[in-house]
Amino acid sequence: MLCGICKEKEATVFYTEIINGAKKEQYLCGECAAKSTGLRLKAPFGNGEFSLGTLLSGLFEESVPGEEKGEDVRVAEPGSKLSCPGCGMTYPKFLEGGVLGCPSCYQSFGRTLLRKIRSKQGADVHTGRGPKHFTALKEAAKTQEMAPKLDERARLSMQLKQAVEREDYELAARLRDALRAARKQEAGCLDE
Amino acid sequence: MNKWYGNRAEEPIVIASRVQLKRNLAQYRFVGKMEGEEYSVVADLVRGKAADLERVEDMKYYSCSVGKLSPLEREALVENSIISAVLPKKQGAALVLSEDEGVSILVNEEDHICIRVNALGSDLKKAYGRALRIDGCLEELGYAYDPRYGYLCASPLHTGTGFHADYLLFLPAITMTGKLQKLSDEIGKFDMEIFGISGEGTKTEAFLYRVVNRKTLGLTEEEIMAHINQVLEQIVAKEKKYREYLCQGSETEILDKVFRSFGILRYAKKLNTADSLMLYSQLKFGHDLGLITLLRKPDLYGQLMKVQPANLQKLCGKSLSVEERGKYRADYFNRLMECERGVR
Ligand SMILES: [Zn+2]
Ligand SMILES: [Zn+2]
Repeated sequence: MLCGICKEKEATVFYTEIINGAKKEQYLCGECAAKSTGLRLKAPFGNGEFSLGTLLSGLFEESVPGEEKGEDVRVAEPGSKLSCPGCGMTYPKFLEGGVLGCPSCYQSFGRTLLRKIRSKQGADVHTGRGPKHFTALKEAAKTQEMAPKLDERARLSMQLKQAVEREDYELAARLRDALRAARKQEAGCLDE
Repeated sequence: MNKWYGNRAEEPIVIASRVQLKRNLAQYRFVGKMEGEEYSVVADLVRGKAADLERVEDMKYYSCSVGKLSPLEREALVENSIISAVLPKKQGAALVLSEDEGVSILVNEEDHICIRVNALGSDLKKAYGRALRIDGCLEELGYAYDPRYGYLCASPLHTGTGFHADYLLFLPAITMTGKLQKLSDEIGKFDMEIFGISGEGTKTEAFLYRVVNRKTLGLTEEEIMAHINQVLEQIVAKEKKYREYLCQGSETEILDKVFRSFGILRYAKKLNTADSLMLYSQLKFGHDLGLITLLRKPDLYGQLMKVQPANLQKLCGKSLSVEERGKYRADYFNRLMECERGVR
């Protein structure tokens, strides 16, 4: 089905608009849907690429009735037109059968699926174990993050030692405080 | 080689522990969306790991395509909980099985891979440890894993750890005192589920149930096991309490039931699966309570693996009609009880 506004692109969103009590239903393409809601688009998964499905479901999460100005209240059925480019699975089909089509579905159905998962599982972040190569990567990232901080501490304590040797107590006091702060910060990081 | 359940005496309440890990290969669509050759490609990849598993486990591993088995063999595997009842209906279904039958890997069921590991008695740790060894071997195939969602499964209800832990429990006293529904409601609050082994709700044969965790996301595998262990402790305490209560309140009645069961198993000429298992479970119950002394310690799980229709026919070595099975089963139990001379 083609978009109801530009009549060019494939419609991906079922869109319900209520203006002055009159209900108007339309199928729109992603671009026109974004234009007509005037909402900011945010990438839900950081700076990475994301599929149209992710974009739109993220978009419509913000399109909550009452958040819009005036009596112009827009309601969209969550995920009704989402589909996964990886396998062709549609969100309604998933709701019907309960199983997804491929690993990419998790990205394709974005926040709509995330909310579903949260409501069913009571959580949306995995905290358990992972494959070896992944765990190794994570460990490496952690140590890299830690390294500059440790260097900073080493540098401060060396300067402190030198300051004490020179009997520059004013500088030593400042370095001592900086070192304490660095230690505290690091402890805080580890607590997380 | 001994089966995993055949190497020591059965416990009175916690019969077995089981762990299941659901995994998928990143390079392929989930089972529901697979087409043509993909089924056999995935099946061959997993089956190809059998040699590695043999090395890691120092034990023989068999692998087969489920479709190539005879109907009787398939049925027997379902009866023994080695595979699920739905696996034989799935296109491209395959099985990798350890020699002791403690590990079965179901291929192309709902997910590409489901690793099932059993351990006798209350020993989730052992089952989990073994599951991790298997998992570590299979993960070389390239699992679908996401830093946020964890192991990606076809159903988001299994995503995260993809981990289910369960205990197989013998709960005659809770059942007889009519407390099962209440127990089910209670453990539901802890996101656990209890179901009868015959599969339909809390109805069951031989007082056997499984307790399993419902959620797989947001908790570590260790946390899930700790939770189920807490629940298990409470169930075991309850079952013990009700056993005592039954002994005090209606000892003659229970005693009568136990010895009647013995009498029927010893002399009946025709027995169906459900009845024979019920009678044998009464015997186990009586033995555990010290009401009857049997020379051969009851092993309910072992009998369960032998007397259901398909396994019974394998035991007999030929296919049997329902009628013939009834006779053969009765004969089997008659002989089993025959050695129990001077039973008191
Ligand atoms: Zn358009
Ligand atoms: Zn997909």
